[in-house]
Amino acid sequence: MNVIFTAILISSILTLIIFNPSSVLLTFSTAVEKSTKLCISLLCVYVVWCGFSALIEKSSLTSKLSRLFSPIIKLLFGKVSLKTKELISMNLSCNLLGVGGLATPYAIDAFKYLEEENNEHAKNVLFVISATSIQLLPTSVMQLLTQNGEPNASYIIIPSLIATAISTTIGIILCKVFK
Amino acid sequence: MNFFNVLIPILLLFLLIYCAYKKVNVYDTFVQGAKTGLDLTISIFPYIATIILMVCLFEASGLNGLIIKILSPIFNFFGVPKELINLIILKPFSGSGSLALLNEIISNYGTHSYVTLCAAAIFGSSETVFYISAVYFVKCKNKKAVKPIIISLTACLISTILTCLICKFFI
Repeated sequence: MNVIFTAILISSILTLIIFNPSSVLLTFSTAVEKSTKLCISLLCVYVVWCGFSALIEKSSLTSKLSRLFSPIIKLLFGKVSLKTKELISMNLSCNLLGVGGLATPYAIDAFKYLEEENNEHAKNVLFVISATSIQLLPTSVMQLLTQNGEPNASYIIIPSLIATAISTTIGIILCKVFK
Repeated sequence: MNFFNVLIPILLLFLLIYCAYKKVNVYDTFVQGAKTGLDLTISIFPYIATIILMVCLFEASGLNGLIIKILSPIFNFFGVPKELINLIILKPFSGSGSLALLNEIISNYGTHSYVTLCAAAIFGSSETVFYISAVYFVKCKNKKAVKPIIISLTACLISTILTCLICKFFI
C-alpha cells in the first residue's frame, strides 16, 4: 500500500504541477470534504447497524448463523477459530443481502483475529470475496434502471449473478493457486 | 424489489422479538453497539480520507484518462465495448464515481441495451477494491494488501471480459 500510494501521489502531483498547478491544493480540500461526507454517512449506518449487531451477538444468533455457514467457511477459508467464523458468517450474510457497508465492521474485526491467528490465506480469501462482490440481488442498479424508466429492471438479475459468480470463483481459485 | 425492501425490516423485527424472548437488555446492548459504531467510524476516517485524496489527485491529474487510453485497445481486442472502459477503470477506485458513470451509460444507451446490461453486470460483479484495502486492515498491524489487491483486480478483469461475452445471450 505504501508503494502504491507514494507512486500514485508523486506521479499525480507531478502531472498537475506541469499542467494545472493551481488545482493541487483545491483537490486536497475537495478530497477531504468528500471523505468527511462519506464518513458521516457511514457513521449513520454504523451506529444503527452496530446497535443491531450487538443485539444479534447478545442473543447468540451469531453462533447459530456461523453453524449454518460452517461447511462453506471450512471449504473456502480452511481452519479458523470460532470467533472468526462468527464474524465471517456475519460478513458473508451482509454481503449476500447486498448491504456491503454493514459487512465492513465484521470484516475489520475478522481481519484483526485472523492476523492474531497468523492466517494470511483466510485474510486474502475474505478480501477477495468482498472485493469481487457476492450480492444476490443487484438492488442499487435495479433501482437506478427503474428510476430511468425501465419497466422490467429484473432482466439484469441473471447476467449479474453470473458475472459476480464468475469474478468470485476466479478470485478464490487465484487465492488457492497463489497461497 | 418490493420484497427486498421489506426483507431487512422483517429480519430486524424478528431479531427484536427473539431478543425479548431471550431476555436480552435491548436498550443497553443497543447503546453499547452504537458506541462501537462511533469508534469504528473514527478509526476508519483517516484511512478513507487518505484513499480518497489519492483517488481525487489521480483523477484531477488526468492520469486515469491516460490509463484508459492505454488500456482501450486491449479491452477492444477482447470484445469489451469501448463505452465501458471508463467504468471498468474507475470501479476499483470510486464507488460513487462509478455509480454516476453507470447512470450516464443508462441515459445514453437506454435502459434495455447490450451496453447497459454489460455495465450493470460489471458494476455488480466487483466492489471498490481500494476502499476495501484501506478499510479492512484498519485494526491490523501488518497492512500489506498488495497480493489480495492484485488477485481481486485480475479476477474482476477476467470476469469483465467473460461477462461481456455472456451478456450477448441475454439481450
